[in-house]
Amino acid sequence: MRIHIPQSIAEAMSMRKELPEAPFFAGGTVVYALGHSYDDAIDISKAVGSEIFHTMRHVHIGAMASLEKIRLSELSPKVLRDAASFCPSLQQRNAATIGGNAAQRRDDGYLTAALLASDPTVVLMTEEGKAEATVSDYLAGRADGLILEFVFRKNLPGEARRIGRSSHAHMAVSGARVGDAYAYTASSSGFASGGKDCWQELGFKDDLLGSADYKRYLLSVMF
Amino acid sequence: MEVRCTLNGRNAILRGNGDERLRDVLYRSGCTSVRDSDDAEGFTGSDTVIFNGILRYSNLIPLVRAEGAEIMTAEGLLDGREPNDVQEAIVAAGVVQSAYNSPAMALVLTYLLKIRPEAGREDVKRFLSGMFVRDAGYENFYLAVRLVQEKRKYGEYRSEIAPSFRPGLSVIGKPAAKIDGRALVTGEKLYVEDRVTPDSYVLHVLRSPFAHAVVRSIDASEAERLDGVEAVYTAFNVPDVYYMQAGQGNPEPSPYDRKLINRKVRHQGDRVAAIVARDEETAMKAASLIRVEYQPLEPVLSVEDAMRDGAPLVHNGIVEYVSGAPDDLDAYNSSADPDEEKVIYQFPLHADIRRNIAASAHGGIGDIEKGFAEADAIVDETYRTSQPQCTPLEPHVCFGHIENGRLVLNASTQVPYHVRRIVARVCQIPEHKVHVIKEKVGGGYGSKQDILVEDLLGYCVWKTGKPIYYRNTRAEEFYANSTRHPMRIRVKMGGKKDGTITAIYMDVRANTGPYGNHCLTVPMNASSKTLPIFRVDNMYYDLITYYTNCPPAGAYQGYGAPKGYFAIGSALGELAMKLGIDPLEMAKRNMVEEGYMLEILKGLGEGREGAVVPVGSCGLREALDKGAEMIGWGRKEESGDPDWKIGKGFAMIQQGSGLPGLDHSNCQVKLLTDGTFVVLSGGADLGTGLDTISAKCVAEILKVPMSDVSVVSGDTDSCLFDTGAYASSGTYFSASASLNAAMDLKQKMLHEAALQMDEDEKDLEVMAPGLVHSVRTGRKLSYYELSHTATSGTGRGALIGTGSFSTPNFAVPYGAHFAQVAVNVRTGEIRVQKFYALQDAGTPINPELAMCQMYGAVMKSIGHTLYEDLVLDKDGRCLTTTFTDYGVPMIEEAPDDFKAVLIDINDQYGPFGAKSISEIACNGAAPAIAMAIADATGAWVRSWPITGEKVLRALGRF
Repeated sequence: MRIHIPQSIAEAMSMRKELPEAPFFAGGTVVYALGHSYDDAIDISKAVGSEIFHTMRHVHIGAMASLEKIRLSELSPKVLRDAASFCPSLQQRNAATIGGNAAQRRDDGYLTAALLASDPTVVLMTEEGKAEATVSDYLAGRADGLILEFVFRKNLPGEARRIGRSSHAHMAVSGARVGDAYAYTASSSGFASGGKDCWQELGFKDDLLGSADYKRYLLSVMF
Repeated sequence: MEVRCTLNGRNAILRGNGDERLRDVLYRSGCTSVRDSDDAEGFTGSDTVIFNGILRYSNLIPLVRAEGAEIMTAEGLLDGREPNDVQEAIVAAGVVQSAYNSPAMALVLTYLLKIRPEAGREDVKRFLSGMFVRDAGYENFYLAVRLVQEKRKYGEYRSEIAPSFRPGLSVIGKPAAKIDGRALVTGEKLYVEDRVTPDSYVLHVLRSPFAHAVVRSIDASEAERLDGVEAVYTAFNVPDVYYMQAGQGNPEPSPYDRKLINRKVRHQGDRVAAIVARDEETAMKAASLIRVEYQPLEPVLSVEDAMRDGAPLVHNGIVEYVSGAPDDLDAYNSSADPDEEKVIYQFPLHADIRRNIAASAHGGIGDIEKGFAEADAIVDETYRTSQPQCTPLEPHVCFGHIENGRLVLNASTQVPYHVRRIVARVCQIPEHKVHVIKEKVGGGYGSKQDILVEDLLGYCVWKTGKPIYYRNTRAEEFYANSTRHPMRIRVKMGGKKDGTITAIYMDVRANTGPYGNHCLTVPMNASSKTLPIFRVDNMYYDLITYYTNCPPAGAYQGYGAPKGYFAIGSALGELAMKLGIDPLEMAKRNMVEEGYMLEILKGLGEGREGAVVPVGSCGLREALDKGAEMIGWGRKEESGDPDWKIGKGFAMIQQGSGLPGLDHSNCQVKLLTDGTFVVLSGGADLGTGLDTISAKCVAEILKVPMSDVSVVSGDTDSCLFDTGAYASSGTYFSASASLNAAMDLKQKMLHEAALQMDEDEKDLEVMAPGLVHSVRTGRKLSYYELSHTATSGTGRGALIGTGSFSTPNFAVPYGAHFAQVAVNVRTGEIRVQKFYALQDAGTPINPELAMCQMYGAVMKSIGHTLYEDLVLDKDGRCLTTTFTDYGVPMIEEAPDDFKAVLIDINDQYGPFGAKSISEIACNGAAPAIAMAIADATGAWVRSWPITGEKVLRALGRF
């Protein structure tokens, strides 16, 4: 694998145009881990920020912010801090990033439900320039681009939960709620956000982590 | 590329490809403490470094990212060769055992204590969250941190590391740092991978994608022509030599049912071709060029599949017997497929391969039907266990080369002498042509009792003459390695209202997978290590082991006992519940005690008639009473949350200490010319502290400090034969040989001293710190003077003590495990809140190591009970080939309140009264947790793993 290290966002986008199959390489816990091999990857660690800061009404979290940094920052929304701790290993949390986690668009992603429930704005760099998208559009693949940061409303209440067989096992289900907004994930079954019962929209499937019935039941009693 | 960075405080240049894993580059650069246990899954933590001030898995960092970085590895903890205080403390705490990631653990804790000197339990848990420990559990890492804090504050350790035993002895029964602890924790080059020479070739195994198929043809010509390929071996050019891979005493109670590579593949991952090449890339390319024509067959994937009429046959070749062939063998072979591999029995195992039966046995005492007729209540339930994997941090690995016309193997093995014998057999050479050097074993747990890689590697080295290295990938560890035998165990147990058990029947159906490794002995343990704990007049068992096309089964710590105890312990709980009586009282009413004559052993002899002996030393009652008191047995706990229900359970357990009548150990102790000692032990220390026990035997008998003793073990050239480290034999057998050798040397030293001192031998004694003393004249002779004179130009020769040990006597460890669990009856989540393991190990020679082995074994067993699951698809392909998918327990899964308690019992046969320790500790968690869950919820879950989903189903939640 050839690893390309752009020094700026513009350079990163330019490289991506030349190498459309090359993934952006953030923390490395997925792209560079076991079982993944690419001819090229674009290391965005020098191009994209990892800062967490707040303005009058918002909290900004750079896409390269690690899960551990998010977990420890008092600025981070509580629901996101909860979810960051779902990544059970300190070494992994030190490496994995919010941008990388979201970019996987996984239904067992540590942050997926928390992001959906807290509904931040995703700031993207696209071929057309900077753009904003809702996180649900991004996670559903309706918006795309290099994630630069997430912008959350300040002082969000909320909580996130996961259920898996053990701390390091994949999550069978997860859920998050922020006020009246709920979001759920179920492994192999997708994710949904909306009202408390929005889990019913999921197409539950059996997999290694449990039967469809099990996952459906868990989400029905999660909150 | 060249990367400039700071490595352990010094400017460094790291060289490699930009996308190369930093772990590999660091290892190559001399930081050999940075190891790889997960092929860059990012799970086990053996590859942990401090990277720019934070803990990272170096396997997940490409070299290119290290430009300008500050990197610290465990090598950076050292001052010259001196360990830091954290390294010293984790050795003292007993957690440095197989030690493959001990240097990384020390690095993590050093980092923690630097940024948080007053770190508490939650801090330790958070910082060890990404570290996997299989051998010693996690509990004593908390102790280690406390020890460091105490030493920094007070200049000394103030916490008790472990209790001491036998006040009359100086080192036996006392916590003392493991003799190889410092070398292990500082990351010395002690493992097989550290022996690999730069000119070595690699061995790559092309494996079957099918669980069951016949290899019709193989065209390897293109691969053989590839530059850098030295040789390709297939079923069509390996010798016609039958053997088996279980490292057991010879003749083995396992069938010879395989060759190096077979024409018929019998599990996904079975060997199809072996490629010897200059490097891995070439080998992989060669593998892709090999064209194999398979004829897929219907796989047999369960005991039920195997036993049904008309089931596909896993083996259907010619059957032969070395002894005890049945009269109708020719007729039996008339339906054999001559193209299939043979099955050769050393002696009858009551097998029938035409019905997929690999072995069978049955036996019992009393009148089982009469017993059930007398019962007021009967339970008759079937319990199922899964196929847990040993998951040693160091995978199966071997390096070999030719030296002076001999085959030299650096092996990570529990059985170096069986490796020598089996490799000699497959190479068709005499044993003196094979030299096996047992290196430090980075975790075995039984799987390295099986000769799973040394056979093929050894053959390839012998044939090619090249130095060759082989290492299983982690995925291969899961699907092409030995595992616990999955079992289906029906237990019928009857009892009276007063709690008397009137009869027990066990019907054990075991799954040995494609080959018959341990197909009799492991499943036998489901009955032979469980029924003898009961003082019940009517007991009977049937055992049938079946061949299937599942991944191979083999030895795993505890053999079949953890599975047997899950079944029989659960049945006891269910029967007590049915009778409305306390299961603990029921256990105590029906358990054996010292002196009880074990008639049941007659039918439990593993292929021969067993000897009836009385129960020897037995701390079972004390363990039960003490454990009950600790956990508050009978007191109902409330969580304060209506969803969380709390329950308690227990198990009474036993194991063995080696195999009396079968096992054999030898040892030599040499007095060196300066009066110090070298022990040459045949025993294979796989991290458990056996070498330390040997050193302690010598130190105790010859009254010298342990620092005067070094131990060389498991080297087949320099050490004498030992059957190996399995079946809990190390302390009882190998250490007894060390003790006998020390005593023999003592006698020889006194004899020589008498001549040198012109004293009567009977007036002489040895005394600390290494003197011969005359009680008559008060004269003293140092060991240095004794040895110097004995080896002088006029001396009578070097002084060497030799000891061997074999015995008909049993030294049976007993114990009781208690669990308290919380179960969320809404979500099915299960939390082990408390676990108390109380064991009678006789005299615990290394008490701190013993306790850590108990913690480690219990953690394994908790994992098997609640989390771990090897899952196959409908075609027999393994779906769980990573740690994450498979599900091992980490520190988060450890019980909040976890105690190991050593019951003080002095055994009449073991060395200094010792019995075995660690295998038995695998036996209690499953039945204790199952009972606790039932106590909490009212629902019994009768299959591993006991998942939240199964609990919820049992509760009728969906």
